[in-house]
Amino acid sequence: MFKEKDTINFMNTRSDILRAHYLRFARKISVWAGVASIVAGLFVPAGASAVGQLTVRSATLGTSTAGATTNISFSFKPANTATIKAITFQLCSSPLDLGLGTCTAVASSTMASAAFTTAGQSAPFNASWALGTGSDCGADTSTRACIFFTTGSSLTSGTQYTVNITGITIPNTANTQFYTRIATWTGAAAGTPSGETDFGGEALSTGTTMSESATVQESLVFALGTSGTTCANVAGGGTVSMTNSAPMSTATDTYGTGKMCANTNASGGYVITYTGTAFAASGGSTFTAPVSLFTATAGTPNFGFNLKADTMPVGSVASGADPSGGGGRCTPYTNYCTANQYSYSTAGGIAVADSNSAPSADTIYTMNYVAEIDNTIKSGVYTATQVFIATGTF
Amino acid sequence: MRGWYRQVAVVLVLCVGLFGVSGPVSATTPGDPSATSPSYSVIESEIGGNGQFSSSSNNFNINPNIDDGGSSLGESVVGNSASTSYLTNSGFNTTAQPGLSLVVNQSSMDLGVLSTVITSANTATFTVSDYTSYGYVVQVFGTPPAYNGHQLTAMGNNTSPASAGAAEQFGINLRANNSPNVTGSADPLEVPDNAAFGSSTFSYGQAGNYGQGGTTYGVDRTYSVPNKYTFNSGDIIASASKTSGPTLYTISFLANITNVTPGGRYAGNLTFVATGTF
Repeated sequence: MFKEKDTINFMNTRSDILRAHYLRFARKISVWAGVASIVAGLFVPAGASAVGQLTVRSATLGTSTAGATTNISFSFKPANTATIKAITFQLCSSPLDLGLGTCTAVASSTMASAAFTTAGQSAPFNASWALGTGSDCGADTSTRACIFFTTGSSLTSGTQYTVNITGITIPNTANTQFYTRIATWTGAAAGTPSGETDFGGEALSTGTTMSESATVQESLVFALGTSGTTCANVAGGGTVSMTNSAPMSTATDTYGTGKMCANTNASGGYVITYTGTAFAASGGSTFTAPVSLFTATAGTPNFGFNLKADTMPVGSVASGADPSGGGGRCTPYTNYCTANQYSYSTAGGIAVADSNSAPSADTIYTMNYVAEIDNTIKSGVYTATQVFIATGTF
Repeated sequence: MRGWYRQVAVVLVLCVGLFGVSGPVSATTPGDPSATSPSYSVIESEIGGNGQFSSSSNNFNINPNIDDGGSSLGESVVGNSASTSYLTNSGFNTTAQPGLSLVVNQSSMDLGVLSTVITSANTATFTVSDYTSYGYVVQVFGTPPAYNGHQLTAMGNNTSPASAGAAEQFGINLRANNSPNVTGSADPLEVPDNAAFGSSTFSYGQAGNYGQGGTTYGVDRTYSVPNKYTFNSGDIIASASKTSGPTLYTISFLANITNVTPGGRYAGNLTFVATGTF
């Protein structure tokens, strides 16, 4: 109860009267100002500063492919230090804090199958926290997932925290913006979080999956000659001139080399085969060389070749070379891949080398030919022709 | 006494008039208070002249009727104030809501028939803008084109293209490239003033990750060096350090093969993920 006090005692002059009037007016103003502040306080909600803004917050998609079910990594710094028992994550058409019940899904987005496990999470969410249920902060809905910890974790203002939620289906429209919301809560019971502490909205966008393509044409390069170090420079034609061939002698070996080179991008690689004619002369003898390995021996009629580094005669002059470069080899074909031993066949389609069932860069092969005669070999000009074929498997 | 009651009534009316029965309650609807005191909070710290929307109603309203009070304020003059890390926008319809837009402008990119005698290249574009943020990053996820289990070899950080046929390579960057020339390649284009990165007053997107420590844009920051290429799934290929208008990015794709690159139709998928920090 307020009551005016009579302060008019003696008013001798007009100025005294005015002073008294203004003093009284000032007292009234101060009194009513106090009343006004008290009454106004009734209208100021106590929770005005309760909800802070999460800062340095982001929501990183596992993939931006429209309609994908993916994970979202939520990262944030709380504004308030508090013991948090629940954190809600929403996917909505608005980033604003409209309450958990006001959130519209975007283009078939859903969080109904959102999941959370402590494995792989950073502290404090790597233990004790769990996906919400109807007994605590609430089970998944189409727009919301929640994690909770009954005891709660103290989240410190200014500390960066990250929570990874999986199983979220993002909007199924490409290049579409949508939003997520993060809110921290100090309580959770009966399916509803309570005590909102901090909040923050984030914008995200689906993208368009871009398909990339290119064509690599199938390639097989095969070259034959008598010289060269790469497939590009093999040269010399198709005739191999033999050492000690004019004339051949029963006392020494006749030998010579040819070259072939192959490369391919065939995923199954290549195989080189040959088909050859007998080493023979018109009106002369025909060498019947064994298919199996033979060792060059002067005075014994033989004709054959291999793809190895040899000494001709054995233990004497170097001749031939091992396959070099790329992935080509002769090792599976021992009749043609044993040093100083040779083979020859007119059966046709005899494999002598391959690239080990894989693409191969340039491999240089050296065919090292050897021929020997005895005294029964008739005179003449002896020749043999081989056709080599490289076949790729793509 | 009658005067006293009259004065009390006046005070009550004044209180109601000043604060409104529901005014303070609606003003404190939980939602991004960025400036707070023990009793008050300012929601979305944006102030404007409210030039387009109605500024009053029966009970006073400075906020336009958008959502829970998020403000869309501003006058017809568009502009901003910026520092290294912050940017404030003003203008018509300056929204209070965070925004992030990623638009991949094409769904496929074909490098054609690869060859051992010439380097192959192609381009694709995407656009990113964001709002009320501390910037964004764009990551690329995927693999180089592959066929029958064989992927083209991804180029390491800032790799120069080899001579055609000398090495198998696949990489990207987001710059204009002239050695070898990549038709259609371009530096990031800031929209709407169509300015280069660093010259725009609206947009601030740049190739590579602005946060890649110890690196310099265009010198050694991956994806930002002309004529040098990189591909690592998950890498940040574009970014902005603050709120930015649209930036049009052009990705240059480059590929080389050797004569042992398996023949076939190579294919793969790339996805781009933009993440804003708000």
